[in-house]
Amino acid sequence: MLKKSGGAAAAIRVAIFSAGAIGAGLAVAASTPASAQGAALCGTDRTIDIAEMGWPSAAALAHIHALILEHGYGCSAEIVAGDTVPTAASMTARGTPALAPELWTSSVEEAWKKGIADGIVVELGDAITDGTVEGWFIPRYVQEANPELTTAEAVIARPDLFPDAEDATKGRLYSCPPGWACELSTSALYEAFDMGSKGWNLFSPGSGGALDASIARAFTRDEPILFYYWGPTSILGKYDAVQLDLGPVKPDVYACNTDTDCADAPGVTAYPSSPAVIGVAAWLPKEAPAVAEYMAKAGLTNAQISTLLVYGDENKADAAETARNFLKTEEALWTSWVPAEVADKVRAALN
Amino acid sequence: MGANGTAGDAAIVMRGVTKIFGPDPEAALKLMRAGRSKAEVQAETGHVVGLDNVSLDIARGQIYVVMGLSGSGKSTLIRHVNRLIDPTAGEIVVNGEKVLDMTMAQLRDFRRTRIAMVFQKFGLLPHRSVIDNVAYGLEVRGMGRAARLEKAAHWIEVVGLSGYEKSRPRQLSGGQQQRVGLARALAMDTDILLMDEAFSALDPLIRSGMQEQLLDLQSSLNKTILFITHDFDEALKIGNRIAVLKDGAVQQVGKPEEIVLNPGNAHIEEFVRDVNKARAIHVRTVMEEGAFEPCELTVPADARCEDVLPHFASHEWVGVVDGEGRQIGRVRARQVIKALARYVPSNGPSNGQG
Amino acid sequence: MFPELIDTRPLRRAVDDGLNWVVRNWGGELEAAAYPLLMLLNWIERLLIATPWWLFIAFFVGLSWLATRGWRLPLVVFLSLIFLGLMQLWRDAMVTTALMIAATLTAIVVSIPVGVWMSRSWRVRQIVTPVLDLMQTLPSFVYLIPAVMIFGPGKIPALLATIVYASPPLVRLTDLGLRNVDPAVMEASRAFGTSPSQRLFGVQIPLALPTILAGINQTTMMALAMVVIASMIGAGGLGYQVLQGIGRLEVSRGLFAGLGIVVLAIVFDRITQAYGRRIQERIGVGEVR
Repeated sequence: MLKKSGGAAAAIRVAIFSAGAIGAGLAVAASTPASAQGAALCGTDRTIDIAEMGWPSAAALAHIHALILEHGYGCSAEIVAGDTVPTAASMTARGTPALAPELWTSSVEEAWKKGIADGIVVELGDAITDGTVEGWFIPRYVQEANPELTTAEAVIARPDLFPDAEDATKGRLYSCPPGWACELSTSALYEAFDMGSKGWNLFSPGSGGALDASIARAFTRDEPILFYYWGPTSILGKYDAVQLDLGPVKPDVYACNTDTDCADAPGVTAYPSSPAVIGVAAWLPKEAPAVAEYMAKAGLTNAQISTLLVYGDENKADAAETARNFLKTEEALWTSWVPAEVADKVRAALN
Repeated sequence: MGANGTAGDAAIVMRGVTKIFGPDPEAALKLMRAGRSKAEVQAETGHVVGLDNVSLDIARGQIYVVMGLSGSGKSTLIRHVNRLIDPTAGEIVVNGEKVLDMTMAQLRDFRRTRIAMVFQKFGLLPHRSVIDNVAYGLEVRGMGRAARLEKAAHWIEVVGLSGYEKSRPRQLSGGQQQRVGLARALAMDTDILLMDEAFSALDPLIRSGMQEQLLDLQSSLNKTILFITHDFDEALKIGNRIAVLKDGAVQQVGKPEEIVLNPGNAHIEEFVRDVNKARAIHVRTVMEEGAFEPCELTVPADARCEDVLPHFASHEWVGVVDGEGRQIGRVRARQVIKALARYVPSNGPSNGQG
Repeated sequence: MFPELIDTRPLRRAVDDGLNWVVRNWGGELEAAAYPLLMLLNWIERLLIATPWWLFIAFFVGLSWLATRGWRLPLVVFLSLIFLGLMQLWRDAMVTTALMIAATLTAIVVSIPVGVWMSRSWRVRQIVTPVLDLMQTLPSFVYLIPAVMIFGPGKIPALLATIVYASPPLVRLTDLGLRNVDPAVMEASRAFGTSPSQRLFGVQIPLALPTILAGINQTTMMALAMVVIASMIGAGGLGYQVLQGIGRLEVSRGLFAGLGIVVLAIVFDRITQAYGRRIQERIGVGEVR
């Protein structure tokens, strides 16, 4: 009896000691920079997960950051899938993923602001430095044939000009896939304009690919189409579309439109120039300040993003290839974001 | 066209029928014609010789049995008659019609009206009732529903399956299923019946019963029946004439007793060895022909040796009488013993003399 | 890694330009060709939506009772359909069911003849089999986005995608079933002078029926499996609800809609299987006791 309890007690002591030792070892490892040179630059051993969202510019940016972090800073970077709403929700709730390179906060504003206030997420800067474009578009050739179609109201009065392929008696407004911020805002506007009773159908394409394909189809066949879109994107770069006037921007109305919990009826407002920010989990600036410093500078103008996208389109390049090409051809641009030794390492890794 | 004891010309004539299985049978055939042996052809070309220059005459109204082991080509042979298999070379004439020259439409008509077949594995349609199965051939021919069902019912009764009209084949035993197959073929009312090892899949007692039934039906129907089997006893029992096949070639053709008494080669002798000769051989085959003085004891002309054996215990000679009671010959023990003895080629023909 | 032996960009450009050419010049004709399918789908959808819910439930409960003559299946069907109604998924379920029925019917009409053709000709089988492999393994979006460009987003490409995905099992099983009919029965049939079509309809198809019905069951299930992908190109219905759930991070929406799809799968699977068994028994090719 005595022996047994003694043995048990000894076992427990050993267990606690080992756990303590392991724990201490981990803590030591985590707090001191590892011997590897790269990790010293990075500042943290933790994997930096980067959200790759569903549209080309965000995807390319994710890969650009991943390449710089891996090869330049020696971080362990990982690309994970994401989209505006799910990524924002995940970051504000759990602090992961660590980085969202192009987060359009307009529709997740409440949650995002709260995340910042609570110290879970941090906004390091603007991903698109000269503002974004969001709105409703029609092809230029439609406007040339019907010069009065310059405002949203004018178009709404003419559903016959934009017939729904499945129901020719009504017009069709192409909205966004579910999960995209614009789906909420566009649906709200649809209701606010009462388009349902004015002979319109609201159509959600289900995926980014389907939306782009629908737009491409219409333009290729010189057919009319009324659609939501944003810039900078390769679609707006490729096809000549004109933006409709939605009236003045009303931030309060827009905020309520995009808040699923808001009880007021949706109202009419233009899309505010949505901030597209570089959002990070709060631990990143704390544990990897060098990385955060780089991030804060890594913004691009509309024109620069367009160039990125045009390359991708013309050369049938995917996000990773587009990123590599960017790093090879736009050295002047990105070397201004990072210290020289990081730039050298990245250059070396690319060649 | 033979002097084989039955009236009528040949119903089925096969001349030089050769069948080679493989992608290029013509080439293999050339080799064979050039004189190469079967084994050589098979080794060189990888083709299998199924039938080797088979020629047969099958007279009308008789049961002609083709006998052989597996691989002898008998199943291939029977399928040439209704052209389920096309020969590589040779000619097949049925009731004066050249089967190989028929178009598909003519062939279908031929199969629907002039020739019927019974299969070893029965070949019944599992999704139809017994009566619909029996009526199948008539349905294919285009007969109306009422007429064909009536006919089918008649033949079901003939084969002894009354009461099973609505059953499904899977509810019947093997013997019953084959009787359905037989009824189906008989219902076609054709002159010629092909039976491909029809009773081989049945139990011995059932098989025996079916053989009896076939002989019984044949006595009233007088069809030309081409019957395939590997069972020599069966061949002896039902055949009017037997052809023995080995490796695709005909070894011997003759009446059952001729083959038993004079096996053509060692292969056939092996079959013959196991046969109950006492039952197979008729007394009249081994007797001394002639009137002679009337014997005390006589047996009828169709008696078999086994019937006469017991008499030798008390009589030296036993007379043989025909239907009217006239003595046509006599027989004694020595002749019977010689007939029953194992055949050795040096013995000379054991046909009763000596 | 692998050395760059050829520049693939001109090739890819050529494919993209080719697609644009088709969209520009043939779009109208292709849409017109697909129009009958759209009509069929719309008709079925209107019918289902117009049917009062209690009639729909009564019909399927009745159908399942007739199929099994038991109480178990009707109860399962009843509870499943009530679930759809309670979760406010009724209309979406009707849209999805319409898509599934239209796709399955079209698949049956197309697949069985192809399967028959394959079973008769080794050459045809050699050509069709790789096509079937392609249909089953090529990721749907590869041909869906071009389909959207040609036909526009919505019901037509969704229907086409579902048909492409759901047909191969039926084609294969029809071919298999017809080829595996007892050769002894086929030979007997030939010996009695049947023509090829007499054999096909009198012997082969009845005896291959169990396998063909298994194929139809598979096709139905695979049509339902495509529901979410179909909604990604604008088909609507339960798939779209699942998509919304995923996109907006409303787990409950996705979960309930997903369960709704499962419910439809159970209902149709059990009913088609039960009817399959009944047909087989009636024809007499059911399993031996």
